[in-house]
Amino acid sequence: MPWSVRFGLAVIGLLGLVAVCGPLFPLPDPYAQNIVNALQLPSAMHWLGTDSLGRDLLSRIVAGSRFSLLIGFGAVAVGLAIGLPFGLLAGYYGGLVDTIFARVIDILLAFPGIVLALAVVAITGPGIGNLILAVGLRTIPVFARVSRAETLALRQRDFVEAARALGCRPYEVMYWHILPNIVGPLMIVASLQTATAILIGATLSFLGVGVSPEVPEWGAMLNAGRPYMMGHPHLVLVPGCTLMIAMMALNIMGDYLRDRLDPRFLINRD
Amino acid sequence: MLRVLSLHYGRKILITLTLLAATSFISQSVTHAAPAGRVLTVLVPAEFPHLDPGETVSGDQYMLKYHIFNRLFTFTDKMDPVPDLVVKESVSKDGTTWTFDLRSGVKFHNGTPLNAEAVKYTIERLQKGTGNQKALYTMIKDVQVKGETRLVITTDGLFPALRNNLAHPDAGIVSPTADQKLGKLFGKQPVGAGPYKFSEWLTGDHITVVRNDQYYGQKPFYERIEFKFVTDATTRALMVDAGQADVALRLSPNDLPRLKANPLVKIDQVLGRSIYFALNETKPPFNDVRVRKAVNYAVDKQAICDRILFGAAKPSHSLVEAVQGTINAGFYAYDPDRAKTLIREAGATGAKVILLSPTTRYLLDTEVSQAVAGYLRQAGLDVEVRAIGDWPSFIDTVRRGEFNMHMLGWGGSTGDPDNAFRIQLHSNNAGKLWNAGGYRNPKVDRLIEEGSKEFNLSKRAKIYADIQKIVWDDAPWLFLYRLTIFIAHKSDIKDIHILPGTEMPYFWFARQ
Repeated sequence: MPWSVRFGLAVIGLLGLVAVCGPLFPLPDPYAQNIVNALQLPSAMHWLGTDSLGRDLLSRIVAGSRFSLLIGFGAVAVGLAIGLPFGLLAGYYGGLVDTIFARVIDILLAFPGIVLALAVVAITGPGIGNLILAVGLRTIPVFARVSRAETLALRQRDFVEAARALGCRPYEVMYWHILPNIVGPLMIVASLQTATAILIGATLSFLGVGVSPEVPEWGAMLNAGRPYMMGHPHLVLVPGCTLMIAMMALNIMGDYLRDRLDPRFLINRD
Repeated sequence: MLRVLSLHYGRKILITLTLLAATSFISQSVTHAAPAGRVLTVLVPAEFPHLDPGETVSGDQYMLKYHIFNRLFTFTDKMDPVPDLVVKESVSKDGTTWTFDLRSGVKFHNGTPLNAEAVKYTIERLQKGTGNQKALYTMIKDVQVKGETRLVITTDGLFPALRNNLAHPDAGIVSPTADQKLGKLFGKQPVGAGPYKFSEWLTGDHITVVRNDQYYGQKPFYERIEFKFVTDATTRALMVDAGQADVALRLSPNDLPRLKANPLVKIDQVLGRSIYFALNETKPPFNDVRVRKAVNYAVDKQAICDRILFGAAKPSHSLVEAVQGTINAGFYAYDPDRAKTLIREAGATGAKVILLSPTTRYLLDTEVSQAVAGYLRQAGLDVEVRAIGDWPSFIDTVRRGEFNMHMLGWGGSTGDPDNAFRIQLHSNNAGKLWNAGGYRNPKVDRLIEEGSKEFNLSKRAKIYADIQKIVWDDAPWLFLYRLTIFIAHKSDIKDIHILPGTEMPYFWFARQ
């Protein structure tokens, strides 16, 4: 395994660990304000410094990892749950069903990701559930397209024909024969889409429509640190670098998976 | 092999350099573009829904109306009303009948004449309407037109501050022709007789006004003023610093060191509005005065002023300190234990409080809201902070009553305390935007009525002092601080005047 992939794996592992076990670490409360101690640079007491209200930045980053991963995985889960069956059905049945599904997918894909998410949040209002929905809406067509393409290709294969000839009903064919074979490419897309989902979630919070301002989501922290950028850049550097490293790790993993699993399939990258 | 590689890299480098050169040429030409006519670019933080004088939601809105409309009187920089459209005035012996002679030959921007009929139309329009600036004219009982330029106003009882009200930015005279033609759309295409005419409004982006060449006063230097909406304070500072704009309103104090170091930029400052949180008395927990007082003890205002606002604010000692006659009504010192005890006594520990915060409307408003929420949580309340992205949505949410406390700021727009107290504290206005907390106190109502009729200056002062003491005790608000307002502009621009009451600059005397 090349060292860059080891690095990516380590980062993701660390993120997962921190997201799950975060509250167990002996860190200060990420919401506890201490106005007198505001805007401190990193020190022994506060390893990454404090923000404009005196809250410890390290514990906010750790707490924020939960939100970011929640948004990332949540959005991908939404995309898989709806996009996968859509694409599978469209690819398997073909004909009119395929045409309708394909047009719906195209309509959803026509919107740039952030614009679609912004529109959804404008209608549903702020809050983390709505955020996951908004970002998830964007990943649905991506998964649908991939699973449709894979299913179309697989449908012609001999073993599928053989299954049909043996009298397998359609859903049995789809579930036992096609699905296991398309999981590979979908995992690749999932890892890449997680990165995109986290970034879109952070962008929405950065624009001020994601979550409440007190929530330590990385994008929101980036937004809150902006007025202080000139005098206290660490407020912006800390969440910004964290986001960057997380995105890089997820992208590296996705690339590696693609290289290893099936290089000859064309994956749609956003 | 090596030769092939070096050719490949060489081509890459050549392409990159060409692109860099091209982009630098493009950016050069943008910054050196010649302006068409003398244009002043002003960066404004918050947009507003319309420019109708009947209703006001923000000081930035005042600024536009001040340029487009003119009034019977206008303010000096000390907030004293002096005649503008009026050339001769007299008051009857009993103080209730005022006779005004207007300047003749004044025309609206659409060419129609500004005469006594137009003034009567304007006053009655506001009285019949539903806007919150109705309060400016509630004391006017009758308006008579006695000739093309003579107007007789009869007040309901004594009202010595009539001239202050008639100088208010919302007392602008509207063109009856335009108003009748446009109806509800008048607020989007206002027609007045001020030094600048309304030209265009691209929602969310900018409003342009052009010089009124028929203006009877001193001819303004700038042919065009572009008011651009830029919500982020740091962006405004950076734009003036880079020379991309001429004036920037309401800067953040942490951007000042950089601007002070720039010799091409000058900074003006003025003590401005008082910021507070209005507490919703119509539902628990703030229907209990103990909880309201507790909230005032729970917050460390000095720490907020020093650490969050970088010293650009002073803790409040009264209600609305930019008006005449403000006193030191008291001070709720930071006492977290007392706050906790009061809340416990009132049985409000753990009570859910929804705190509405605007974003980018007042200096560092979201930060201060979070700090206040932190202090209230320490005192035992369960606070949820809701930050609303833009000002029109914020006031919408306030109007619907979906809050327990919300942040507001008030300068003294007429300099006269009657306007401030009446709109925010009189029970007639409970439930409207500026008294959305529903404060009602019949004693205060009576004092407001008395004060508005009192001609004797020392008696007036006593009445308004009493109002402040009573309201301070009733604690309908979380009293916070008074902001210092910073305006930056290019140092070669002179004579920008600032009205302290609304911290509003105006530009018809400005020149380079």
